[in-house]
Amino acid sequence: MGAYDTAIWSSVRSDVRCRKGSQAVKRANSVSSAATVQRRVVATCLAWLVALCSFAASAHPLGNNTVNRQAALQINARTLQLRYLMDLAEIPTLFETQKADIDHDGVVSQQEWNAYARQWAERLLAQLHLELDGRPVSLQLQSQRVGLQPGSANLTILRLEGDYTATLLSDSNVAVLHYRDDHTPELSGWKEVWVYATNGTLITRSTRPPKDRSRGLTQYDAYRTAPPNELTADATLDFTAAAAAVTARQDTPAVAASRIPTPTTGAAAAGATSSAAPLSMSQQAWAFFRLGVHHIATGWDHLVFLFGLLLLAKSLPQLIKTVTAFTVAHSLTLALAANHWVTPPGPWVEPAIALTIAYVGLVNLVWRSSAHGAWLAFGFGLVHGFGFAGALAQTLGDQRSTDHHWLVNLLSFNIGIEAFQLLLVSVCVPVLHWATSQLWFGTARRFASCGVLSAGLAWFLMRTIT
Amino acid sequence: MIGLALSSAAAVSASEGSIKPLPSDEHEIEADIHFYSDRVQRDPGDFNAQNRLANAYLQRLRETNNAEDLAGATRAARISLATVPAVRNLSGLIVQAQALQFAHEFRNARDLAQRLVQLISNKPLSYEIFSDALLELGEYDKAADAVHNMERFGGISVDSETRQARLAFLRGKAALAQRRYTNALSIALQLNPPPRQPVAWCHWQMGEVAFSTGDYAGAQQHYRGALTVFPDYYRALAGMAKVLAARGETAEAIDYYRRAIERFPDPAFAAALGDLYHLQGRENEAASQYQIVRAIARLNQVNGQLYNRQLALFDADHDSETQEGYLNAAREYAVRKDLYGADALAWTALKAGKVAQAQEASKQALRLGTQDAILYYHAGMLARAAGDTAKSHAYLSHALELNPRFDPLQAPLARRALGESTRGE
Repeated sequence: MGAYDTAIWSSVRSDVRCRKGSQAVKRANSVSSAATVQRRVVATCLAWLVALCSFAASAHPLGNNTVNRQAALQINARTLQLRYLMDLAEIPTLFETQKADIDHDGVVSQQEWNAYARQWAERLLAQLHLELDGRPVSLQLQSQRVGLQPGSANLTILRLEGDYTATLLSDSNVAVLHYRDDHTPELSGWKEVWVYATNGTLITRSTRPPKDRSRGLTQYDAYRTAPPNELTADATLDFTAAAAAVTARQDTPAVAASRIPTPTTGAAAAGATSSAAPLSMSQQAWAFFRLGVHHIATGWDHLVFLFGLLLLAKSLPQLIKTVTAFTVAHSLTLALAANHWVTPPGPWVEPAIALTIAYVGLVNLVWRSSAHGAWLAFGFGLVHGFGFAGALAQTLGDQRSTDHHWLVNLLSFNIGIEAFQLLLVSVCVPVLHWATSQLWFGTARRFASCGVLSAGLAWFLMRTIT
Repeated sequence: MIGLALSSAAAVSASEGSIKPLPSDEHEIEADIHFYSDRVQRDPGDFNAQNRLANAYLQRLRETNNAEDLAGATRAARISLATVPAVRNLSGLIVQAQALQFAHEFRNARDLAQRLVQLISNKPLSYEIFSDALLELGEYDKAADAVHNMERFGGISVDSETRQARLAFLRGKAALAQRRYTNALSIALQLNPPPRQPVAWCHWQMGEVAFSTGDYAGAQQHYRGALTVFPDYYRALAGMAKVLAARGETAEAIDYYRRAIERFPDPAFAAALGDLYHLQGRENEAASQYQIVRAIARLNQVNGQLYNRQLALFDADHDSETQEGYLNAAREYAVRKDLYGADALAWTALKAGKVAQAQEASKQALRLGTQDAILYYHAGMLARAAGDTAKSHAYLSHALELNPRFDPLQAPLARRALGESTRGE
């Protein structure tokens, strides 16, 4: 029958043509010379339509012969939890069903499926590789699940899940994690890896986003023209704050017992020093100070808001009042929320922060000053404080004010924020002072205000949708 | 047959020295796909990037035959042409015509290619796409003209030689086809670096021609050559399985089919594997493979594919769903009148008891004198059903002379029918 399928011809010319393109050539060539705004609108609409149609047409959007997978790596202090999901479309499910049918009676019983899932999950232990600072880290299988769901043409699709853990031990508080998936890499489909950290571990660099893009292989981003093909991940982890939090928690035995890796679990064998050794108060304070600096330095929304406030101030005393009001307010809510005395209004915090930015941009653009700038900064500072509290809460975990280090940690975190804020103000103020005497300042200010307003609105939309 | 075997062996020895693994360009293609995907995500109106993205998908499709790549290429080509119309976007037109060809929408592909020929009448690529569509639609004379124009405007190339080879094979000139494929292979190997997929494809095609003329040793060498160049090339894996089955090495053949199916679940491979299991008495496993054939057919229907030649032939070979198989084949032949379509119609019509329709279709299937055992086997069985013993004897003898073990299930039936007709005489 193979002789009948003659539709696919070879084409050397196109292969060779493609090879000639270096990245630079590609960039140069793909600059659209004829694309007009109208065309782009049409193309965008069509891209949406085509993508939606093709993705919505099937329960398995990438085709009936694909295998989708997702590896979620969660780093929780010195523990790594890996959840590995596989979602097989109809045709691979058919093949796997035959493999699962051990007694060849044409029916796969639940016991056969369970045995199949167990084998699958155990096989993965040899195919999923983890390294910390170049040293292999062994995974432990915790559990596995198997499920069948209805697919196209009265066929089924198979979903497998495996949960694994590993202990991350290294000599230093900063370590590089490498992950590699060697499980049937040749199969086509959605291949997603995401890496995120909780309880104070910082990911200072990562080749993979901290975001579940397919919602556990259930929703596929209709915008993407090519599914991700991620089989590896590299991340630089900073355990300093986690170590601080762990140390702090050691004073609260009930919490510490379940989270801290015991010094005997593999550490002796690996010859590694467990960094869960208690840190001094000054070391903890330094760790939280760095966490505060890191949070504000990478928190573009807070920075844009601050910039908007600086634009609003007409004089140095007014500027000092405004910045102080913002600082006092966010310190207040930060302390209240981090201590669980006040509960932040959940998912509304982040969109609300975005709205405060948009408002400051609007005030700058329309009224160009605010008679009650300090009060405005204070009010909005309260909202931003809840945002800072979210970051701090991740680090502190269940730790409460009963711990005497807690106040020091909170203050250190806040001082970290203020220090960076002060640095920014001290750079911006002289520049703004000089700029106000220039003829073009009015125009520049309008542009900057537009930028602040647009950024605020964009963040609001994105955060509301998310 | 002897002459062809000699020429095939010569071709093998000529190319054997140069057979070596070729580097894969899959990472390069992958990088292209991601680069242009990011680009069009940021700016869907960049039609040039859309065209390049479609081209990268088509390149990968040639290696994997994966529907996902076809969907990607079709999507990118469609957006590109919606952004900038074809008259000012010839690359968009080219990738769309190629995507249609891969999607087996040959009539649409032919129409687009014809437009392409009108717009750029001095470029071989226009004629290349045009000839491919015409070949699939059974318009062989026009296809030959198009290939002639390819050579006129682009000289002798891998692309022109492979198409000449196909035409030669269809016209019953298997030895010439083999020489053309050898030329194509030589040209491909002279490129720097030699492209892996086209080189493997030429080896595989040479294996197909050798097999169809009963040269099993030559076929096996060509398939092995393809697998050396491109390990796990699913077409060559299936070719190896086919030739090993013909040589009676069933266990090895099963292994090759399983590997081929792992790479690409072609229902034809599943059906052939099922047949081998059936011959070994492993009925449960055979049934599982047949179940896969039907499941894939159901999926094709759900995905909007209107006809399915492979399923029609499978039904006819296994005497199941014969009426539906005939309707499938007739539906396809109404829009695609190639000679293998005519043969599928003849074979399914015979199984459905429509001998007159089958005879008419069989005439069309043999109209070019293609030297393929399966065509003569079907014609022989049809003549037998129509009571024309002499013709049946001639056709069946010719089929078995060409390729004595052309199919593990059907060749013994041909031999039995021939024996019966001989005894009858």
